[in-house]
Amino acid sequence: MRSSVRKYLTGYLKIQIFGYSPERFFNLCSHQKIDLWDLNVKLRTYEMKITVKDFLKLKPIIRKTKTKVKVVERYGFPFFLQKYKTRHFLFSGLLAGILFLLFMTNFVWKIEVDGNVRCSDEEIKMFLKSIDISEGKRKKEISCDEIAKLMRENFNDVIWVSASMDGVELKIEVKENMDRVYEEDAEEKPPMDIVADKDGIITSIITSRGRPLVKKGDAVKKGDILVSGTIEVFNDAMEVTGYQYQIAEAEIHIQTEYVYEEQIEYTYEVLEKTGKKKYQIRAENNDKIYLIGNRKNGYKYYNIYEYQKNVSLGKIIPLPWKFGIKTIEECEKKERTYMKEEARKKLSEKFHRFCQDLEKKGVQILKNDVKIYYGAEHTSAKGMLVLEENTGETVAGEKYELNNDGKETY
Amino acid sequence: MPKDVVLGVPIVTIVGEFEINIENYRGIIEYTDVLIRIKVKNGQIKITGKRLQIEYYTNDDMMITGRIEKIEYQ
Repeated sequence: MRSSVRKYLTGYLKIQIFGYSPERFFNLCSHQKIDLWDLNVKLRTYEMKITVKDFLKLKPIIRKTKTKVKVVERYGFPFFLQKYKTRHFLFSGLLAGILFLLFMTNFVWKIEVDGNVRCSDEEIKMFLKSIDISEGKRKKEISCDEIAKLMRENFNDVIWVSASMDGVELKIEVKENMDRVYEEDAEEKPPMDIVADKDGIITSIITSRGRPLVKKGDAVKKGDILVSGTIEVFNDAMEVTGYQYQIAEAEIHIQTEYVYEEQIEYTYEVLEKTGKKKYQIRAENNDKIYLIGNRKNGYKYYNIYEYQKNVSLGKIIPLPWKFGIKTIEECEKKERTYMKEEARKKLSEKFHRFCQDLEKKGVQILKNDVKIYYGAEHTSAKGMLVLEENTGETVAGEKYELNNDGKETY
Repeated sequence: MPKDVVLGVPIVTIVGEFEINIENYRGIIEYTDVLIRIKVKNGQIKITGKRLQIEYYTNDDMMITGRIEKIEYQ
Protein backbone atom coordinates (compact mmCIF):
# COMPACT_ATOMS: atom_id res chain seq x y z
CA MET A 1 0.00 0.00 0.00
CA ARG A 2 2.94 2.36 -0.45
CA SER A 3 1.87 3.46 -3.90
CA SER A 4 0.45 6.94 -3.54
CA VAL A 5 -1.67 6.61 -6.71
CA ARG A 6 -3.43 3.56 -5.30
CA LYS A 7 -3.94 5.32 -1.99
CA TYR A 8 -5.47 8.27 -3.80
CA LEU A 9 -7.82 6.08 -5.83
CA THR A 10 -9.10 4.11 -2.85
CA GLY A 11 -9.17 7.11 -0.52
CA TYR A 12 -7.52 7.66 2.84
CA LEU A 13 -8.15 9.53 6.10
CA LYS A 14 -6.23 11.56 8.62
CA ILE A 15 -7.34 10.51 12.13
CA GLN A 16 -6.59 11.63 15.67
CA ILE A 17 -6.28 9.26 18.63
CA PHE A 18 -6.67 10.22 22.30
CA GLY A 19 -6.71 7.99 25.31
CA TYR A 20 -4.88 5.99 27.87
CA SER A 21 -2.57 3.79 25.82
CA PRO A 22 -2.05 4.77 22.21
CA GLU A 23 1.08 2.58 22.01
CA ARG A 24 -1.06 -0.46 22.57
CA PHE A 25 -3.28 0.75 19.80
CA PHE A 26 -0.29 0.94 17.44
CA ASN A 27 0.91 -2.53 18.35
CA LEU A 28 -2.52 -4.00 17.82
CA CYS A 29 -2.75 -2.26 14.48
CA SER A 30 0.54 -3.68 13.31
CA HIS A 31 -0.54 -7.09 14.60
CA GLN A 32 -3.74 -6.87 12.55
CA LYS A 33 -1.70 -5.71 9.54
CA ILE A 34 -3.33 -2.32 9.50
CA ASP A 35 -1.09 0.20 7.76
CA LEU A 36 -0.51 3.54 9.46
CA TRP A 37 1.78 6.27 8.17
CA ASP A 38 2.77 9.88 8.86
CA LEU A 39 2.44 9.42 12.63
CA ASN A 40 2.65 12.71 14.53
CA VAL A 41 2.49 13.57 18.23
CA LYS A 42 1.21 16.83 19.65
CA LEU A 43 0.59 16.96 23.40
CA ARG A 44 -0.47 13.34 23.75
CA THR A 45 -2.68 13.63 20.65
CA TYR A 46 -1.59 11.28 17.91
CA GLU A 47 -2.29 12.07 14.28
CA MET A 48 -1.86 9.54 11.53
CA LYS A 49 -3.10 8.50 8.13
CA ILE A 50 -5.02 5.32 7.36
CA THR A 51 -6.80 3.87 4.35
CA VAL A 52 -10.58 3.77 4.35
CA LYS A 53 -10.55 -0.02 4.16
CA ASP A 54 -8.37 -0.33 7.27
CA PHE A 55 -10.35 2.33 9.11
CA LEU A 56 -13.40 0.09 9.04
CA LYS A 57 -11.36 -2.66 10.79
CA LEU A 58 -10.44 -0.35 13.71
CA LYS A 59 -13.61 -0.79 15.82
CA PRO A 60 -12.56 -3.84 17.93
CA ILE A 61 -9.12 -2.32 18.55
CA ILE A 62 -10.66 0.94 19.76
CA ARG A 63 -12.91 -0.94 22.14
CA LYS A 64 -10.04 -3.00 23.48
CA THR A 65 -7.64 -0.09 24.04
CA LYS A 66 -10.33 2.35 25.19
CA THR A 67 -9.09 5.07 22.91
CA LYS A 68 -11.11 7.62 21.01
CA VAL A 69 -10.80 8.23 17.28
CA LYS A 70 -11.65 11.37 15.36
CA VAL A 71 -11.51 11.80 11.63
CA VAL A 72 -9.75 15.09 10.83
CA GLU A 73 -9.49 15.11 7.06
CA ARG A 74 -10.45 13.02 4.04
CA TYR A 75 -8.30 12.58 0.96
CA GLY A 76 -8.62 10.74 -2.35
CA PHE A 77 -10.80 10.26 -5.37
CA PRO A 78 -13.94 8.83 -3.67
CA PHE A 79 -14.12 11.92 -1.45
CA PHE A 80 -13.48 14.17 -4.45
CA LEU A 81 -16.47 12.60 -6.18
CA GLN A 82 -18.60 13.07 -3.09
CA LYS A 83 -17.58 16.72 -2.80
CA TYR A 84 -18.55 17.57 -6.36
CA LYS A 85 -21.58 15.28 -6.47
CA THR A 86 -23.97 18.19 -6.71
CA ARG A 87 -22.15 19.80 -9.63
CA HIS A 88 -24.16 18.17 -12.38
CA PHE A 89 -22.87 20.34 -15.20
CA LEU A 90 -19.23 19.51 -14.47
CA PHE A 91 -19.84 15.80 -14.88
CA SER A 92 -22.31 16.09 -17.69
CA GLY A 93 -19.85 18.37 -19.53
CA LEU A 94 -17.07 15.87 -19.02
CA LEU A 95 -19.27 13.07 -20.24
CA ALA A 96 -20.47 15.09 -23.22
CA GLY A 97 -16.85 15.88 -24.10
CA ILE A 98 -15.88 12.24 -24.05
CA LEU A 99 -18.95 11.27 -26.07
CA PHE A 100 -18.27 14.03 -28.59
CA LEU A 101 -14.68 12.82 -28.98
CA LEU A 102 -15.87 9.23 -29.43
CA PHE A 103 -18.44 10.38 -31.97
CA MET A 104 -15.90 12.40 -33.93
CA THR A 105 -13.53 9.46 -34.18
CA ASN A 106 -16.13 7.78 -36.39
CA PHE A 107 -15.10 10.04 -39.26
CA VAL A 108 -12.04 10.41 -41.43
CA TRP A 109 -10.37 13.76 -40.77
CA LYS A 110 -7.23 13.51 -42.80
CA ILE A 111 -6.16 11.73 -45.96
CA GLU A 112 -2.46 11.16 -46.47
CA VAL A 113 -0.94 9.92 -49.69
CA ASP A 114 2.54 8.50 -49.64
CA GLY A 115 4.94 7.04 -52.17
CA ASN A 116 3.57 8.81 -55.24
CA VAL A 117 6.07 10.46 -57.56
CA ARG A 118 4.32 11.00 -60.84
CA CYS A 119 0.70 11.33 -59.69
CA SER A 120 0.37 14.37 -57.45
CA ASP A 121 -1.40 14.23 -54.09
CA GLU A 122 -4.12 16.47 -55.54
CA GLU A 123 -4.69 14.11 -58.46
CA ILE A 124 -5.20 11.16 -56.13
CA LYS A 125 -7.38 13.17 -53.76
CA MET A 126 -9.49 14.35 -56.71
CA PHE A 127 -9.96 10.73 -57.72
CA LEU A 128 -10.93 9.79 -54.16
CA LYS A 129 -13.41 12.65 -54.17
CA SER A 130 -14.91 11.33 -57.41
CA ILE A 131 -15.58 8.00 -55.70
CA ASP A 132 -17.10 9.93 -52.78
CA ILE A 133 -14.26 9.66 -50.30
CA SER A 134 -13.12 12.85 -48.64
CA GLU A 135 -12.51 14.33 -45.22
CA GLY A 136 -15.60 14.08 -43.04
CA LYS A 137 -16.76 10.71 -44.41
CA ARG A 138 -17.88 8.04 -41.96
CA LYS A 139 -15.25 5.42 -41.38
CA LYS A 140 -17.77 2.60 -41.61
CA GLU A 141 -18.72 3.59 -45.17
CA ILE A 142 -15.15 3.34 -46.39
CA SER A 143 -13.82 0.05 -47.64
CA CYS A 144 -10.05 0.09 -47.87
CA ASP A 145 -9.97 -2.93 -50.19
CA GLU A 146 -12.39 -1.22 -52.54
CA ILE A 147 -10.25 1.94 -52.65
CA ALA A 148 -7.13 -0.08 -53.42
CA LYS A 149 -8.93 -1.97 -56.17
CA LEU A 150 -10.39 1.15 -57.79
CA MET A 151 -7.05 2.93 -57.66
CA ARG A 152 -5.25 0.05 -59.34
CA GLU A 153 -7.85 0.09 -62.10
CA ASN A 154 -7.77 3.84 -62.67
CA PHE A 155 -4.08 4.66 -62.42
CA ASN A 156 -1.99 2.85 -64.99
CA ASP A 157 1.34 3.74 -63.45
CA VAL A 158 0.36 2.46 -60.02
CA ILE A 159 1.45 -1.12 -59.50
CA TRP A 160 0.77 -1.47 -55.77
CA VAL A 161 -1.73 0.28 -53.50
CA SER A 162 -2.38 -0.05 -49.81
CA ALA A 163 -5.19 1.82 -48.07
CA SER A 164 -5.43 1.68 -44.31
CA MET A 165 -7.04 3.48 -41.41
CA ASP A 166 -4.86 4.92 -38.69
CA GLY A 167 -7.13 6.53 -36.11
CA VAL A 168 -8.93 9.32 -37.93
CA GLU A 169 -6.44 9.25 -40.78
CA LEU A 170 -6.85 7.43 -44.09
CA LYS A 171 -3.41 6.39 -45.28
CA ILE A 172 -2.88 5.59 -48.91
CA GLU A 173 0.46 4.19 -49.94
CA VAL A 174 1.24 3.67 -53.58
CA LYS A 175 4.13 2.34 -55.58
CA GLU A 176 4.51 3.50 -59.14
CA ASN A 177 6.10 1.78 -62.08
CA MET A 178 8.98 4.02 -63.01
CA ASP A 179 10.27 2.09 -66.05
CA ARG A 180 7.26 1.64 -68.24
CA VAL A 181 7.05 5.09 -69.78
CA TYR A 182 10.73 5.12 -70.66
CA GLU A 183 10.31 1.90 -72.61
CA GLU A 184 7.45 3.40 -74.58
CA ASP A 185 9.57 6.47 -75.29
CA ALA A 186 12.45 4.42 -76.59
CA GLU A 187 10.45 2.92 -79.43
CA GLU A 188 9.66 6.19 -81.17
CA LYS A 189 12.55 8.47 -80.39
CA PRO A 190 12.83 11.46 -82.68
CA PRO A 191 16.29 12.89 -83.33
CA MET A 192 17.22 15.76 -81.05
CA ASP A 193 19.69 18.32 -82.43
CA ILE A 194 21.64 20.98 -80.63
CA VAL A 195 21.35 24.43 -82.17
CA ALA A 196 23.13 27.68 -81.34
CA ASP A 197 21.08 30.07 -79.24
CA LYS A 198 23.20 33.13 -80.11
CA ASP A 199 25.71 34.41 -82.66
CA GLY A 200 29.43 33.93 -82.00
CA ILE A 201 32.60 31.99 -82.54
CA ILE A 202 32.99 28.43 -81.25
CA THR A 203 35.87 28.22 -78.77
CA SER A 204 35.49 24.58 -77.80
CA ILE A 205 33.17 21.66 -78.55
CA ILE A 206 33.09 18.26 -76.85
CA THR A 207 30.46 15.89 -78.19
CA SER A 208 29.34 12.94 -76.10
CA ARG A 209 26.42 11.87 -78.31
CA GLY A 210 25.50 12.85 -81.85
CA ARG A 211 27.45 14.10 -84.89
CA PRO A 212 29.23 17.47 -84.57
CA LEU A 213 28.74 19.75 -87.58
CA VAL A 214 31.01 22.61 -86.47
CA LYS A 215 34.58 22.80 -85.14
CA LYS A 216 36.63 25.17 -83.00
CA GLY A 217 37.01 28.61 -84.58
CA ASP A 218 33.83 28.41 -86.70
CA ALA A 219 31.55 31.44 -86.70
CA VAL A 220 27.92 30.44 -86.13
CA LYS A 221 24.60 32.27 -86.25
CA LYS A 222 21.64 31.81 -83.96
CA GLY A 223 19.64 28.76 -85.06
CA ASP A 224 22.53 26.92 -86.75
CA ILE A 225 22.69 23.20 -86.00
CA LEU A 226 25.86 22.51 -83.99
CA VAL A 227 25.43 18.81 -83.20
CA SER A 228 23.06 16.62 -85.16
CA GLY A 229 21.09 13.82 -83.55
CA THR A 230 20.86 11.97 -86.86
CA ILE A 231 23.64 9.52 -87.55
CA GLU A 232 23.97 8.18 -91.04
CA VAL A 233 24.64 4.48 -91.51
CA PHE A 234 26.97 3.68 -94.40
CA ASN A 235 27.65 0.48 -96.30
CA ASP A 236 31.03 -0.62 -97.64
CA ALA A 237 30.61 1.55 -100.71
CA MET A 238 30.19 4.57 -98.42
CA GLU A 239 26.54 4.93 -99.37
CA VAL A 240 23.88 5.88 -96.85
CA THR A 241 21.71 2.89 -96.04
CA GLY A 242 19.82 4.20 -93.04
CA TYR A 243 19.65 6.62 -90.17
CA GLN A 244 19.93 6.23 -86.42
CA TYR A 245 18.33 8.83 -84.25
CA GLN A 246 19.68 10.00 -80.93
CA ILE A 247 19.38 12.80 -78.43
CA ALA A 248 22.47 14.90 -79.10
CA GLU A 249 24.58 15.80 -76.11
CA ALA A 250 27.60 18.11 -76.12
CA GLU A 251 29.37 20.82 -74.21
CA ILE A 252 29.92 23.79 -76.46
CA HIS A 253 31.58 27.10 -75.57
CA ILE A 254 31.01 30.12 -77.69
CA GLN A 255 32.59 33.58 -77.77
CA THR A 256 30.03 36.35 -78.11
CA GLU A 257 29.92 40.10 -78.05
CA TYR A 258 27.51 41.95 -75.84
CA VAL A 259 26.71 45.66 -75.94
CA TYR A 260 26.15 46.93 -72.44
CA GLU A 261 24.20 50.11 -71.94
CA GLU A 262 22.69 51.53 -68.80
CA GLN A 263 21.75 55.07 -67.88
CA ILE A 264 20.58 56.95 -64.84
CA GLU A 265 18.57 60.19 -64.87
CA TYR A 266 19.75 62.77 -62.36
CA THR A 267 16.21 63.37 -61.10
CA TYR A 268 14.15 60.43 -59.96
CA GLU A 269 11.01 59.68 -57.98
CA VAL A 270 10.67 57.70 -54.76
CA LEU A 271 7.68 56.51 -52.73
CA GLU A 272 7.85 57.48 -49.09
CA LYS A 273 5.60 56.23 -46.32
CA THR A 274 3.45 58.91 -44.71
CA GLY A 275 2.79 56.82 -41.62
CA LYS A 276 -0.94 56.45 -42.23
CA LYS A 277 -2.21 52.88 -42.14
CA LYS A 278 -5.43 50.98 -42.66
CA TYR A 279 -6.16 47.48 -41.50
CA GLN A 280 -8.53 44.92 -42.91
CA ILE A 281 -9.27 41.61 -41.24
CA ARG A 282 -10.56 38.86 -43.47
CA ALA A 283 -11.96 35.44 -42.75
CA GLU A 284 -12.46 32.91 -45.50
CA ASN A 285 -14.68 29.86 -45.36
CA ASN A 286 -14.63 27.77 -48.53
CA ASP A 287 -15.65 30.36 -51.12
CA LYS A 288 -17.19 32.93 -48.82
CA ILE A 289 -15.11 35.89 -47.71
CA TYR A 290 -15.95 37.97 -44.67
CA LEU A 291 -14.26 41.34 -44.28
CA ILE A 292 -13.92 43.42 -41.16
CA GLY A 293 -12.50 46.93 -41.30
CA ASN A 294 -12.03 49.64 -43.89
CA ARG A 295 -12.98 48.41 -47.34
CA LYS A 296 -12.18 51.58 -49.27
CA ASN A 297 -8.64 52.22 -50.24
CA GLY A 298 -8.60 55.97 -50.84
CA TYR A 299 -4.83 56.33 -51.09
CA LYS A 300 -3.23 57.34 -54.38
CA TYR A 301 0.03 55.54 -53.75
CA TYR A 302 0.25 52.68 -51.29
CA ASN A 303 1.95 49.46 -50.22
CA ILE A 304 -0.11 46.41 -49.31
CA TYR A 305 1.05 43.65 -46.99
CA GLU A 306 -1.04 40.60 -46.38
CA TYR A 307 -0.71 37.86 -43.81
CA GLN A 308 -2.81 34.69 -44.02
CA LYS A 309 -3.13 31.61 -41.87
CA ASN A 310 -5.03 28.36 -42.24
CA VAL A 311 -6.83 27.16 -39.15
CA SER A 312 -6.46 23.59 -37.98
CA LEU A 313 -7.26 21.62 -34.87
CA GLY A 314 -3.93 20.60 -33.38
CA LYS A 315 -2.13 20.30 -36.75
CA ILE A 316 -4.00 17.08 -37.58
CA ILE A 317 -7.48 18.21 -38.48
CA PRO A 318 -7.59 21.07 -40.97
CA LEU A 319 -10.61 23.34 -40.66
CA PRO A 320 -12.06 25.06 -43.72
CA TRP A 321 -11.21 28.53 -42.34
CA LYS A 322 -8.53 31.02 -43.26
CA PHE A 323 -7.78 34.21 -41.42
CA GLY A 324 -5.76 37.12 -42.66
CA ILE A 325 -4.75 40.68 -41.92
CA LYS A 326 -4.20 43.17 -44.72
CA THR A 327 -2.22 46.30 -43.97
CA ILE A 328 -2.37 49.23 -46.38
CA GLU A 329 0.27 51.90 -45.89
CA GLU A 330 -0.11 55.26 -47.55
CA CYS A 331 2.86 56.55 -49.54
CA GLU A 332 3.63 59.75 -51.36
CA LYS A 333 5.78 60.46 -54.40
CA LYS A 334 8.84 62.66 -53.91
CA GLU A 335 11.37 63.89 -56.40
CA ARG A 336 15.05 63.47 -55.64
CA THR A 337 18.25 64.36 -57.44
CA TYR A 338 21.43 62.33 -57.74
CA MET A 339 24.82 64.02 -57.41
CA LYS A 340 27.31 63.16 -60.15
CA GLU A 341 29.37 61.02 -57.83
CA GLU A 342 26.25 59.21 -56.53
CA ALA A 343 25.10 58.43 -60.07
CA ARG A 344 28.54 57.07 -60.95
CA LYS A 345 28.53 54.85 -57.88
CA LYS A 346 25.05 53.57 -58.68
CA LEU A 347 26.00 52.77 -62.28
CA SER A 348 29.18 50.92 -61.34
CA GLU A 349 27.25 49.00 -58.69
CA LYS A 350 24.70 47.97 -61.32
CA PHE A 351 27.44 46.92 -63.73
CA HIS A 352 29.19 44.97 -61.00
CA ARG A 353 25.97 43.12 -60.20
CA PHE A 354 25.45 42.41 -63.92
CA CYS A 355 28.93 40.88 -64.11
CA GLN A 356 28.30 38.81 -60.99
CA ASP A 357 25.08 37.46 -62.49
CA LEU A 358 26.98 36.48 -65.62
CA GLU A 359 29.61 34.66 -63.57
CA LYS A 360 26.92 32.80 -61.67
CA LYS A 361 25.59 31.54 -65.00
CA GLY A 362 29.07 30.26 -65.85
CA VAL A 363 29.88 33.03 -68.32
CA GLN A 364 33.46 34.25 -68.50
CA ILE A 365 34.22 37.88 -69.36
CA LEU A 366 37.17 37.98 -71.75
CA LYS A 367 37.23 41.70 -72.56
CA ASN A 368 35.51 44.66 -70.99
CA ASP A 369 35.63 48.25 -72.19
CA VAL A 370 32.57 49.71 -70.49
CA LYS A 371 33.04 53.39 -69.64
CA ILE A 372 30.94 56.00 -67.87
CA TYR A 373 29.83 59.12 -69.75
CA TYR A 374 28.38 62.20 -68.03
CA GLY A 375 25.58 64.04 -69.83
CA ALA A 376 23.50 67.09 -68.94
CA GLU A 377 20.44 65.14 -67.79
CA HIS A 378 21.78 61.68 -67.24
CA THR A 379 24.86 59.58 -66.68
CA SER A 380 25.35 56.47 -68.73
CA ALA A 381 27.59 53.42 -68.86
CA LYS A 382 28.30 52.07 -72.32
CA GLY A 383 30.69 49.59 -73.80
CA MET A 384 31.34 46.25 -75.37
CA LEU A 385 31.82 42.99 -73.47
CA VAL A 386 33.41 39.93 -75.01
CA LEU A 387 32.06 36.83 -73.28
CA GLU A 388 32.68 33.13 -73.35
CA GLU A 389 29.65 31.06 -72.40
CA ASN A 390 27.88 27.77 -72.85
CA THR A 391 25.58 27.49 -75.78
CA GLY A 392 23.31 24.90 -77.24
CA GLU A 393 19.59 24.37 -77.17
CA THR A 394 18.16 20.92 -77.70
CA VAL A 395 15.39 20.90 -80.31
CA ALA A 396 13.61 18.17 -82.23
CA GLY A 397 15.34 17.54 -85.54
CA GLU A 398 14.08 16.32 -88.87
CA LYS A 399 13.70 12.66 -89.81
CA TYR A 400 15.20 11.57 -93.07
CA GLU A 401 13.57 9.17 -95.52
CA LEU A 402 15.61 6.84 -97.70
CA ASN A 403 14.64 6.88 -101.36
CA ASN A 404 14.16 3.52 -102.98
CA ASP A 405 17.02 4.04 -105.45
CA GLY A 406 19.52 4.02 -102.64
CA LYS A 407 18.29 0.67 -101.48
CA GLU A 408 18.47 -0.93 -104.88
CA THR A 409 22.08 0.11 -105.44
CA TYR A 410 23.07 -1.74 -102.28
CA MET B 1 22.71 -17.99 7.91
CA PRO B 2 21.89 -14.31 8.47
CA LYS B 3 22.11 -13.37 12.12
CA ASP B 4 18.86 -11.44 12.27
CA VAL B 5 16.88 -14.45 11.12
CA VAL B 6 18.63 -16.93 13.43
CA LEU B 7 18.80 -14.80 16.53
CA GLY B 8 15.73 -12.62 15.92
CA VAL B 9 17.68 -9.50 16.86
CA PRO B 10 16.78 -6.09 15.51
CA ILE B 11 18.62 -4.30 12.67
CA VAL B 12 18.95 -0.57 13.19
CA THR B 13 19.99 1.59 10.27
CA ILE B 14 20.78 5.22 11.02
CA VAL B 15 20.97 7.84 8.29
CA GLY B 16 22.68 10.99 9.53
CA GLU B 17 20.92 12.26 12.62
CA PHE B 18 17.49 12.57 11.03
CA GLU B 19 16.36 9.08 10.07
CA ILE B 20 16.31 5.64 11.74
CA ASN B 21 15.10 2.41 10.20
CA ILE B 22 14.38 -0.48 12.57
CA GLU B 23 13.66 -4.02 11.36
CA ASN B 24 12.68 -7.04 13.44
CA TYR B 25 10.96 -5.12 16.24
CA ARG B 26 8.24 -6.47 18.47
CA GLY B 27 6.17 -3.39 19.24
CA ILE B 28 5.95 0.20 20.38
CA ILE B 29 6.11 0.73 24.16
CA GLU B 30 6.03 4.50 24.27
CA TYR B 31 5.72 7.19 21.67
CA THR B 32 5.98 10.95 22.20
CA ASP B 33 7.69 13.63 20.09
CA VAL B 34 10.82 13.55 22.29
CA LEU B 35 11.02 9.87 23.18
CA ILE B 36 10.26 6.60 21.43
CA ARG B 37 10.69 3.24 23.15
CA ILE B 38 10.56 0.14 20.98
CA LYS B 39 10.34 -3.43 22.20
CA VAL B 40 12.87 -5.78 20.63
CA LYS B 41 13.84 -9.41 21.37
CA ASN B 42 16.22 -8.94 24.31
CA GLY B 43 14.89 -5.69 25.75
CA GLN B 44 14.13 -2.33 24.27
CA ILE B 45 15.61 0.48 22.19
CA LYS B 46 15.14 3.99 23.53
CA ILE B 47 15.43 6.88 21.09
CA THR B 48 15.42 10.45 22.36
CA GLY B 49 15.37 13.57 20.22
CA LYS B 50 13.15 16.38 19.05
CA ARG B 51 10.12 16.42 16.74
CA LEU B 52 10.25 12.64 16.47
CA GLN B 53 7.78 11.20 14.00
CA ILE B 54 7.01 7.70 12.83
CA GLU B 55 7.00 8.01 9.05
CA TYR B 56 5.46 4.56 8.63
CA TYR B 57 5.45 1.21 10.36
CA THR B 58 4.51 -2.26 9.25
CA ASN B 59 4.87 -5.67 10.80
CA ASP B 60 8.51 -5.91 9.74
CA ASP B 61 10.02 -2.48 9.88
CA MET B 62 9.45 1.12 10.88
CA MET B 63 10.99 4.45 10.00
CA ILE B 64 11.46 7.29 12.45
CA THR B 65 12.41 10.79 11.38
CA GLY B 66 13.19 13.93 13.34
CA ARG B 67 16.21 15.32 15.21
CA ILE B 68 17.80 12.25 16.86
CA GLU B 69 20.02 12.86 19.89
CA LYS B 70 20.48 9.51 21.65
CA ILE B 71 19.96 5.82 20.97
CA GLU B 72 20.14 3.46 23.95
CA TYR B 73 19.76 -0.31 24.40
CA GLN B 74 18.15 -1.29 27.73
